[in-house]
Amino acid sequence: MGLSFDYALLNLGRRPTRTVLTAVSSALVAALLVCTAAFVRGLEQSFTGAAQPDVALLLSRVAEGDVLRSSVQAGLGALVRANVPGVAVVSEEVHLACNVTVPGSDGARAAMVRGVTPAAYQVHDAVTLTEGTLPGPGEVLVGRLLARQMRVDPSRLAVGETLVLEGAKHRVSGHFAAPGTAIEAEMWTPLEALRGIARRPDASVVFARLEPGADARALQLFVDRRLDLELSLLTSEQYYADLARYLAPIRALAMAMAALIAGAAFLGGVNTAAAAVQDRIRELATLRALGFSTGALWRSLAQEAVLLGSFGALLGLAAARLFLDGGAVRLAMGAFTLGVDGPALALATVATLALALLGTLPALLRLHRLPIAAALAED
Amino acid sequence: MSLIELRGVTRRYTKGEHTVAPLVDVDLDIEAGEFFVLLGPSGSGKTTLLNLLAGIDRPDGGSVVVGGTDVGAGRSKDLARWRAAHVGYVFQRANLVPVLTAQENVEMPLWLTDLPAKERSRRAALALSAVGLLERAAHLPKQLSGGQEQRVAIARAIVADPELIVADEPTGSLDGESAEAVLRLLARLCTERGKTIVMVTHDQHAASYGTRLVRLEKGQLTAVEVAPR
Ligand SMILES: Nc1ncnc2c1ncn2[C@@H]1O[C@H](COP(=O)(O)OP(=O)(O)OP(=O)(O)O)[C@@H](O)[C@H]1O
Ligand SMILES: [Mg+2]
Repeated sequence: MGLSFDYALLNLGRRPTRTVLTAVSSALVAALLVCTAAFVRGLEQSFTGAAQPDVALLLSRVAEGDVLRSSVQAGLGALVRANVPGVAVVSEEVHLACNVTVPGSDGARAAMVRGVTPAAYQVHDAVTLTEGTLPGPGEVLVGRLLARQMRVDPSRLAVGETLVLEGAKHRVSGHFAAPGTAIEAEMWTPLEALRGIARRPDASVVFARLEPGADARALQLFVDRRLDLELSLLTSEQYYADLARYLAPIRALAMAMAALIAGAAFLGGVNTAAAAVQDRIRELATLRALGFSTGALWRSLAQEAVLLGSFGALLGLAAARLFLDGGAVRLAMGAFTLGVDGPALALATVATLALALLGTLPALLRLHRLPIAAALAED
Repeated sequence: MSLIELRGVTRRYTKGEHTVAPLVDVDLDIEAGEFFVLLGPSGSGKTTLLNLLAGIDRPDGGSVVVGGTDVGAGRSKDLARWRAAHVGYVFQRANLVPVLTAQENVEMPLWLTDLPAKERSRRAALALSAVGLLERAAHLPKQLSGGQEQRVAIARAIVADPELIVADEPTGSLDGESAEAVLRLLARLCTERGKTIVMVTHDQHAASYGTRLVRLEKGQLTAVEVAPR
């Protein structure tokens, strides 16, 4: 009962130019929405992916949670290990924004460099060696997104290549991945070696992994008692939550962009549906006169819109998947990958189709108010 | 009770300060099985009257009752359903759907029924052959002549077998021969199938097919002597 699906399909062929333009704009909308979704998800994942409930950070109090500004005494790790019960592993680290020169590319670039001991690989679960070996003195281990973050050709950072770190030549010993975390845009080098070349005798941070079942209370007690050390304790979750809060404006901006795209898409849909109704006003009046309900006419228009929307979305999402997936976004001191994954694609598809459908609602109103007799007399 | 009863029907259009009143306090009865012909000068309100009978327009005053249904009242959804079941309308212009074939155009009113697809297409073919266009079933409206389009529109009006057929100058765009065929078809639907026909025409010859002739002028209806054919 009602208008056949063929009718909706055939109607798409009536104004080929308009149909193509609408499909292309649907494709753009879908692509833009999937970009935004991938961006926001990437952003969120990169700052929660590293959060581990059983890991806490010790920073200097004056740093106010900023690892780059933090300075704690060297040997704090050992101190914690010796004095705090329930701590399984400590990783004392130096985090530095260094000048790095990659031969064959112009000028020095800023990059996040982390001085680590082997314990680091036990507290940062996300980190896995993908190629080569762990770094020895004069060597660096390079994160998967570093090349992108520094805007150098990835081949320049291949295993065996050399780069200049704070004036000293270093060989790339291997590569690591740390999916969904900002760590991927860093390079790691042995702690003592970095202390030497950067002339930093201290440490930035101590990561402490708690034993199973233990909680951070003993650590907090240590921090509270050793006022002389002027420490502050952050759980890993808090630390990354802070980071995420810092990035909230960027996230909000992306969301606002998505809303604007959606708004424009909605108005485009409204316009297309209104034009279709206007073009076919006498035909629609004829169908009403034959006994088709407003609902039946609207369903047919909605079928057209959704059909076109799905086609457009398919096009846009395929393009996004092709050109965008695995791409990386650079932020001031980090980078994250864009994952054009299931959820992002689903979100964009649903949004595009919902917008296409919503766009036909004003046309429903118009159909409802259509004066059949007068419209039949229209040219 | 007559099939169609108009009581004190007024229809007026107001645009700014101008008011046009094609129908003023009109009473009219049309019996089932009549071939009723409506005459009148251009702009006199003939289409307006048909629209009221067919339940696609509402009077500003008075009542239009067709087969016991007050078609000036009721929800538009119910009226739509009523139209689909009871009225076949041949519009002044053919008003075919350009993207559908003649066969599909004729079948359209049956899309509102729960007849199986096979039966729908059988009935559409039957209606098409009644207007002599079965061999054009697969053609799109733009591949048909104006007269052929109008005949497809007639097939569409009769396919659901409504008891009332209203036709707005159905022969206006037809040559003598096709016009004759259409008029004979309408007359046959009336005499053999007991359909009630309400036809608007300007043409004296077409009017002569009617069993009753009425002229609409200045908002009023007056009976016209039926000239022997
Ligand atoms: N929707 C409308 N809005 C305003 N005026 C209208 C409307 N429909 C009809 N009219 C006016 O009502 C009058 C009657 O129109 P109608 O179409 O019923 O005449 P008609 O007898 O069918 O004419 P024709 O023989 O040319 O088809 C005309 O003056 C017309 O301009
Ligand atoms: Mg008319």
